Amino acid sequence: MKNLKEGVVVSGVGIVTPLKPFMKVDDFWNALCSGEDAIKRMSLPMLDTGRKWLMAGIDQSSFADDISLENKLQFIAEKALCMAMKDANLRECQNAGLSIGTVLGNVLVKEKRLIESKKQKTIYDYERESLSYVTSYLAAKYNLNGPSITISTACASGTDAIGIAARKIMAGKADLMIAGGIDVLSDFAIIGFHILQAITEEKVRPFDKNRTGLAPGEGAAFVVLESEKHASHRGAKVYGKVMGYASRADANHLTGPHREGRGLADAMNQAISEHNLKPREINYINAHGTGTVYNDLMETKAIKKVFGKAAYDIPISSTKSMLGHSFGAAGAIEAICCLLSIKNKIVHPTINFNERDAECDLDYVPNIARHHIVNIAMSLSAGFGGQNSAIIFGKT
Amino acid sequence: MEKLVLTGVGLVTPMGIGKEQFWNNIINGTSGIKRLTKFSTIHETYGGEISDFNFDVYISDGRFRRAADISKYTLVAVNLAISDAGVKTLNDKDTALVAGITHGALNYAQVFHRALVMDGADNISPIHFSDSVLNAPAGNVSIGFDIKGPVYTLVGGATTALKAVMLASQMLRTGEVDKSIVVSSDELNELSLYCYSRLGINTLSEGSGALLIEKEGKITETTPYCYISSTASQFNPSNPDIALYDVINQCLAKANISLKDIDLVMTDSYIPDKLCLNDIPAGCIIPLAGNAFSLTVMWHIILSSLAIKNGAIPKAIIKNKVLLPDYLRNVLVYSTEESGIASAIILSKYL
Repeated sequence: MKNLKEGVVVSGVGIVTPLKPFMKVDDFWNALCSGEDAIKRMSLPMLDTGRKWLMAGIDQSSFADDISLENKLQFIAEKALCMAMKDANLRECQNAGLSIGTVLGNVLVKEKRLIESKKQKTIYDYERESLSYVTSYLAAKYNLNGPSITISTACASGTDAIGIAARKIMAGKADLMIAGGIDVLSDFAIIGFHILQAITEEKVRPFDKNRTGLAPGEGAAFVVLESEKHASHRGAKVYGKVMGYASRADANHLTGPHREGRGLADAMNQAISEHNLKPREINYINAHGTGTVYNDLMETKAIKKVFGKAAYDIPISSTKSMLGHSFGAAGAIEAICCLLSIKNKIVHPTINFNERDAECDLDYVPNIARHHIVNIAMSLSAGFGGQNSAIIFGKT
Repeated sequence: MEKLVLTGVGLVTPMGIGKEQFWNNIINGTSGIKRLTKFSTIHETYGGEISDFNFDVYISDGRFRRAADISKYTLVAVNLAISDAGVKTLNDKDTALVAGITHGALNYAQVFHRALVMDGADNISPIHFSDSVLNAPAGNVSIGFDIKGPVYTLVGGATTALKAVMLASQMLRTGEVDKSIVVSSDELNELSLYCYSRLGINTLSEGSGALLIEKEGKITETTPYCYISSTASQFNPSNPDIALYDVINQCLAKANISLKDIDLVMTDSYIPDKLCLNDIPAGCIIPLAGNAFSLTVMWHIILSSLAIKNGAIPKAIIKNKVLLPDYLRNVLVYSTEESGIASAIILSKYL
């Protein structure tokens, strides 16, 4: 890559997930490292069909106020954004932008209308239904006058939002960007994955021989990205440096991954080469790790393709084993997990891992967290449309 | 910095499919607005509906026959843009695709929810889920044309097409890719028409517009339409006029020209007096094609590039009473959103 002027660091993180929602990032991290499972049986958010589905939802009782379903996304997004800004000790910033990845946006507003087959009645509802509504709302409220981006690259949205934001800073388009992913549980996503036979009826067991699928989840996560110069000038604490990012397409199938992980391997190779890293320098991978038969096998093959024999020495964990798959938020949550692994020198486990799959034979950090000095971590995401993204963070 | 050029355009519009039909209808002032026939429940509603559209004529790949309309429009527009640029094969990993979408496949989403309510969760066609997802049009194009580079879908209002061009240009400038395809698409939806009529937007539209951007030094196949001289975007919710003023000035500065060098302004937005644009011909395609938000802005970009290449400003789209120059060097395309976002691009004559 040429013409990229600035190095980019992460100076703040904020996260709202079904695990310890609205609590400190350390509480979330400790719960994750303890292997707490946030996935349970719940009803659909909108339609009461009498059936319970396995999913990871933010417990309604954890909301301080009585939040309607339609306001939930905006609420958790704002909470996570504020956490990140506070964590970064952010005050005024002249050239700050906002980049949000989401698959469904404020889907519940639209979903309610579609289920009831109603015409939009108010301008306010129309505005809220827009996928970019939360971006505009947060940018206006927090005076983020720089680049404003809403990106929807399926389940890679959170990763791409961060990657594109980092590129904006590298290209000198902004000094600081707040970037992340947001999504909430919706009937559309739950039923959609059900008809694709991707939802499990048992535990989520990424990379396990007996894995049977994913559990939908929800959440919001943001990182504060800034140029090294900007962070240094204001004396910001730094979690890590962005050391590579790439997006590559499978060009294969709209809903299924390329069986050999072609696009994901391309994304990893491109991200690794961006800062002239060697594959062996990466010593932690946060996998996409959904728990579906095809994703986990494809991902394992892609990692082996890129890292060769060294793949067996890299701890790989699946955050989704505990939090479910939070779609647009997932990549941002998992990016933060990488940063927390670097900071805390510990990698969280892949839970519910009972039996080794002959083809998924890497080190998935089964069931118990592990002390591990993480120098350079890579987070992987894949999604519908053949989307694949890899982002790399390293110690500064 | 190496110059970027626009080398191919593709259009699916209510005023015709392909650049020739589109341009001829623009020149002749032929409107694409007609009574909508897509929705049996809607009476006496007019808009820019895509009719007489035979997908199989343009795309022979059977995998996309059941795709949502928005995906079909996108596939055809991209196909036309690639052919127009004379590109025989895309070097798959060195090509980026950036889509700018405002609404997406609302009709399939509506079918999905209707089936969920009426028939239950087990009786929904998977395609009504997979093709409803916002990045499905871009995903289908990636599959259809074997594009294995970065594929992004940006979502939002009218400025989204300009942001898509900016992202695509950035990837070219940083050397990440050699070619960038930018596409904007949308489809009409009956449940949304009502709301827009309440907002005072009565004539909506659908279709797609695609363009191919390359580095000037790398082109071999064709003569470009124009240079992409500069782009800018800004967000100022407290004063959208200032955002617009700033992005236009940024664009002029980056292009190293002044306002007097702009021969045509294309915009779907208002023209504040402060901007001193009133002496420049200002065009808008909405009266002829209807409003499709991000897609409208993409059509403005394509129309401007056609005008530059043809050296003619189509009178039918000009909304102010000024003398039209007999030359066309630089066109300013801009758009604003109520939220306070303003984005702009300057296209310049290829020399």
